[in-house]
Amino acid sequence: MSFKSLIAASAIVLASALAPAPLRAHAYPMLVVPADGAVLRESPREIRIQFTEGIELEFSRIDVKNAAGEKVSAGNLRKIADDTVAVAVKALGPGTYRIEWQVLSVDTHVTDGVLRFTISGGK
Amino acid sequence: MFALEGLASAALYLMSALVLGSLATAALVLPPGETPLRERLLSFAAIFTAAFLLIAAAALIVQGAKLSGGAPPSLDILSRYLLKTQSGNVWLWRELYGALLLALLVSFKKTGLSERAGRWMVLAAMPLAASRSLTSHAAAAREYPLAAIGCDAVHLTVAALWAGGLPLLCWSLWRGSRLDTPPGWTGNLVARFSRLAFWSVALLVATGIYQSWIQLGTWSALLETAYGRILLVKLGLFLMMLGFGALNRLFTLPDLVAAPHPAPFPRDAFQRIGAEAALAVVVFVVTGFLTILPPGAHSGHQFAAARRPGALQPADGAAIKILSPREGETFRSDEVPITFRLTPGRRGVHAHAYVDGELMGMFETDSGTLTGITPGHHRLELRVVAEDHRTELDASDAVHFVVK
Repeated sequence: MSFKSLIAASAIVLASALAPAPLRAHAYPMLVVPADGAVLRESPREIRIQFTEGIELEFSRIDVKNAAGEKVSAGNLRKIADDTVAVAVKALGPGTYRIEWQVLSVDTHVTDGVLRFTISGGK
Repeated sequence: MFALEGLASAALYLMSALVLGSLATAALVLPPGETPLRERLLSFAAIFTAAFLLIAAAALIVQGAKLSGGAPPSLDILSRYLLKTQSGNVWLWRELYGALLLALLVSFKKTGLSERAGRWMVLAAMPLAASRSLTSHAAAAREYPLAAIGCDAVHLTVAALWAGGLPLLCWSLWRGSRLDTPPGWTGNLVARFSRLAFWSVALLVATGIYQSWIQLGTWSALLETAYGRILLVKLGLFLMMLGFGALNRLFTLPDLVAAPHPAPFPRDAFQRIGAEAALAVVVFVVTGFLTILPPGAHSGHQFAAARRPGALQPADGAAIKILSPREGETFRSDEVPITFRLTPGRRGVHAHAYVDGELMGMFETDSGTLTGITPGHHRLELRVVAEDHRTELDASDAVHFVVK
C-alpha cells in the first residue's frame, strides 16, 4: 500500500465513522426536577437540572415559559453543584410549560434543549 | 462549525506535538555536537509555537461563534468567555505561556541552545501539549477528574514526544545525509529516537486504555456511538503506526547501524519512518474530531437513567399499579397516556416512569402522558419515589406496549 492510498483509506474510514453519527450534545440533562413530561398538582418553586458534565454558569441559562411564550422563571440561574443548576419560578397556574435550557460545559461544548411539564391543577 | 471546530482542535494537537517533537529531537535524539541541525530544530520549534498561538486564536473565534449561535463573536462575548469561564481562563493562560515559550526560543536562537538548556526546554514545552487536558473530556469526568486529567496530560505529552518527533526525525535523516556526519551517525540517531519512542508508546498505551475506559463506559459504546467508532479508527491507525514502529525497530535500525560509511541516503528507512510519521498526522486529525464528540459514556443518556439495579430502597408499604396502558396495548402516535394507582406507604410521594429502562418522566398525579416515544415494542415501568426525587423504592409495576 502506498502512502497516498494509506492516507486516502484513512480519510474514507474516518468519514464513514463520522457520517452516520448524529451530532449529540455533551452536557445532557441527567436528572430534571420536575421531570420532562411530568404532570404536577401544584407549581414547583424552582426548576433544577443536573447535567452529565460540569457546566460553566456564564453562558448557561434556563428559561421557563408558559404556553404563550412568556417567561415565568424568576431570578438568576444558581449553581448548586459543578453539574447542577436551578432557577426559581413564579407561582404557576394550570397549563403546560416549556423549560428551555442552554449550557456551556467545562469541556467547551455548548448544548441546548427543551423540556416540558404540566400543572394539572386537579386533585 | 463542526468541521471547523474539529480541524482547529486537530491543528492544535499537531502543532503542540511538533513543538515538543522538534525540541525533543534537538535535545534528546540528536547525537551530541550537532549544532547546525540543533539550531534548525530550534527554529522549527519557534515557528510551530507561533503557529500554535495563531491557531489557538482561531479556535477562540470558533468557540466564540458557538457561544453566539453561529454568528461572529462580539468582543463582549470573547472577554466574558476568557475571564469568566474555566476553559476561557485556561486558553488565556496557555496563550501567555506559549508567548513566553516563544520569547525563550527566540532568545536561545540568538545565544545558542546548550544540550542542558535543550532538555529544560523540552520540559518547558510539555505544558503546551498537556494543558489541553484541562478543557478536554477528562476535565468533565464525573469520577476522579484529577486522575483523568493527569492521565490525559501524560497521554498527550508522550503522544507529542513520539508522534510529534517522527516528522522531525525524518527531516533530520534527510538533512543529515547532506552533511558530513561521522560513521554510524544515522543508526545512532534512529536508535536514540527508538528508545524515546519505546517508553512513550508504553505510557501511551497504558494511559490510552484508562482514558478509553472512562470515556466509553461500556463495550457497546465502542460500536454504537460516534465517539466509539472514531476511537476504533484511531485505534486502527495507532496499531498501524505501531506496526511500522516495530518494523523500523527490528529491521530499519539494524540496517542503518550496519550501513557502510559514508552511507548513501537511506531511502527505504526514510520511507518507512515517513509512513509512520504520516500516520501520526492522521491520528492527530482523528483525535481532533474525537475531542468534539460526546464521550460514549454520555451518548444516548437523555437522563441519568443508568440507575443500577439493586439501588432500590425498602418499599415501607408503598405500591403502584399501572391501569393503562394495558399489557400489549397499541398506540398510533408518540404520545402514550398513562394512569396508575399509587399507594404511598411511609415514604412514597410520586412515581418515576421508565421506558425501556430510561427515565422518561416523573408523575405527582395519578395520570399523565409520555411524549416522544419512538415506534416499536416498549416496556413501561413505574417506580414509587420518595420526596427527595432520588430515592426509589422497591415498589414498581411494568407493562409492555407498542407504538406504530
